[in-house]
Amino acid sequence: MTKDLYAPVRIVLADDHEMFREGFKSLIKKQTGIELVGEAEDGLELVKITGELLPDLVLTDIQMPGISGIEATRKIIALHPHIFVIALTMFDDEHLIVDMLESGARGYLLKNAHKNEVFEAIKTVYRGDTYYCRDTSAKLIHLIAKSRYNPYKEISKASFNQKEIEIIHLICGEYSNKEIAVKLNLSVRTIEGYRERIQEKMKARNAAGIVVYAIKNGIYKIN
Amino acid sequence: MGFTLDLILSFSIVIPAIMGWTRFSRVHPAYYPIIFCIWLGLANELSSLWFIHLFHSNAINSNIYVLLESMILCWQFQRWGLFTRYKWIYPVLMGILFAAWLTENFIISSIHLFSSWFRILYAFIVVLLSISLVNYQIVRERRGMLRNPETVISLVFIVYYTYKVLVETFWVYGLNENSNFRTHIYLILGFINLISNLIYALAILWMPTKPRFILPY
Amino acid sequence: MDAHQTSVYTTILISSFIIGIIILYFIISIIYHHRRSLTLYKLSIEAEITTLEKERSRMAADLHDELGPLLSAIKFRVGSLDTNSPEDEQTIEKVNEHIDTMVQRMREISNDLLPNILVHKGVVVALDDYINNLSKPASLEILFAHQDIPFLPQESAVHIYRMVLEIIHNTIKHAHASVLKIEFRRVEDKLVLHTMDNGQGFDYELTTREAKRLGLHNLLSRSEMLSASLFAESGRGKGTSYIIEIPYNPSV
Repeated sequence: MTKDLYAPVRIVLADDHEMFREGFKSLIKKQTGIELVGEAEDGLELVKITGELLPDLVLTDIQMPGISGIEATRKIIALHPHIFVIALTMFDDEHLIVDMLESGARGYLLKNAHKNEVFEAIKTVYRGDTYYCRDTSAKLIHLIAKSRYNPYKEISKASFNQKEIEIIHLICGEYSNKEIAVKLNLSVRTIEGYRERIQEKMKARNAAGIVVYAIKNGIYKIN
Repeated sequence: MGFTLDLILSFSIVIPAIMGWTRFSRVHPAYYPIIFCIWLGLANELSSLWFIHLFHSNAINSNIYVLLESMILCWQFQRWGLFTRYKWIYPVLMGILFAAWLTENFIISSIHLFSSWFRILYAFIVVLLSISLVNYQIVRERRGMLRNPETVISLVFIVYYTYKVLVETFWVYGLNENSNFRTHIYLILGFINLISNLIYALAILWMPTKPRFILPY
Repeated sequence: MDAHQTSVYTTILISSFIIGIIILYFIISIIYHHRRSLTLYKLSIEAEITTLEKERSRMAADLHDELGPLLSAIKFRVGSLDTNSPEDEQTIEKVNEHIDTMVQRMREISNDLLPNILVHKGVVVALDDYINNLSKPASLEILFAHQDIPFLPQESAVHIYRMVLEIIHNTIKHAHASVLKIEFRRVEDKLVLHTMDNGQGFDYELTTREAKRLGLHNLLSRSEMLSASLFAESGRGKGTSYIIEIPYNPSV
């Protein structure tokens, strides 16, 4: 199904807390490019509504009554492989994010993410890329890296030159752009340029994306 | 028949002695004194036979044995933690026992006669220590009381040594003149001895390799 | 033996028999009442600990269900405000920062109360996670090895988790050790948890005061709730070692 890039993105939201859904709605209302077409309170309702409305994206909580977000994601991906899923996580279920990714989710957001990040995530996943929330903890990155989840099987592996690989290693080591610039004796602007190119090749949106790509493709190894 | 029965009853100490020998390597050192005591008891029985054969009286080895037995038992109670709060009691007790033994065996009476007063004294002390240990364990033990070999042994001590005190008191007051009475009493004591030895053997079986953690108080 | 002597002897025999009965009865009574006292004591400890864990679970759920969504909703609504003045923009950003800090704090509190990872992934994964994220002194190395541990019911898992945390906490605070080894293995019908450190140990004899400091009451109570046996070995300068043997029957 070809995506009409000018039509608004149709999304369905699933979460068992009404307060959150209302808050999210108020955020989306003012965005012209995104349209909330349906809401669900639990996993079963989500699968049903998704089947009826056939949205472009599904944003779902992980822990819900009925069947969990993980189960629901599996069902949705199985029935409608062209519908992409973004996981929403509260502060206490990071360990379940890996399960969501392994079940077919294309990315995740913290529920207290900045509104810009929410929009960016929706845009990115709509295009077919993966999105990892900017505030991903190192612990979670390692968990993702160690898991079976690997979205890079289909993407043709990009190649990186020596300089880029060095920078990737430093990014994985949690160095900031300034620190990398000092280390490699280059200007911050140059580093930023490199970084943009790297992210383009990897189709990553932030440092988390870079790290996961690097680990999954063997460019960087965690000890 | 009477002599054979006596022999069987006294040598029933072989059972716990063998049990202690086979389990020795796996028993926690805190329980060594009682095992030594049992072996010593066996040695005493054997040397009694020999002494009686030679000298017609086992008074000497018996007197020495009761001194050793009393001191080893005190040592065992100390190992079981009875004196942790009042550390000074242990050396004082040992001193009293030794002094009393010396007094009776060399000053008041003779080592060739059975030292009844000392026997009364140390049996009484063992009973009191056993009662203290049982009560000490009541507060600390969190499983059933009978699962704890220390408690079981102490309970047996209470019964056995109370009877010893009574019997020795009888002898002090000359009740051992009548051989009929004496035989009856020794028979009863013999059976108590037999049951005690069996229970000691069981307790040795239950002795743990490492001590369970119990909060001190 | 004349009649007088006979009566004396009979009296003595009868009285010693009576003394024997009294002692025997006393012993039986002690055993019986001790058992009763134990049962009562166990019930009271159980009640205490169960209530504690229930409350913690409830509070963690409250954080997740009430405070969490509220914070997200606030952030979204604030984010949906249109403003023209850069000052207001700054204020909105500041609000966002505060909310993020709150969320971070709630994550920590929730984890302390009842780690979600313990509930979903079991005690082994939760312990791994805890140890990896622990801020411990650089001089201390914690090694965790496990083998063949099945997925346990939540109650037991929580007890084991709390016990290990208590031991780790003690080691960090008191032992001044460089290595803490934790082994959790299944041995026949028991799960054996064995911890050892090479620190300075504690003196069992002086331990009444130290027991309170070292939370040993807590370890004992929780191991009793698991019907487990607790063994501790320690000596000044000899390090400390705990062994907890938990009976496990897979029929449940």
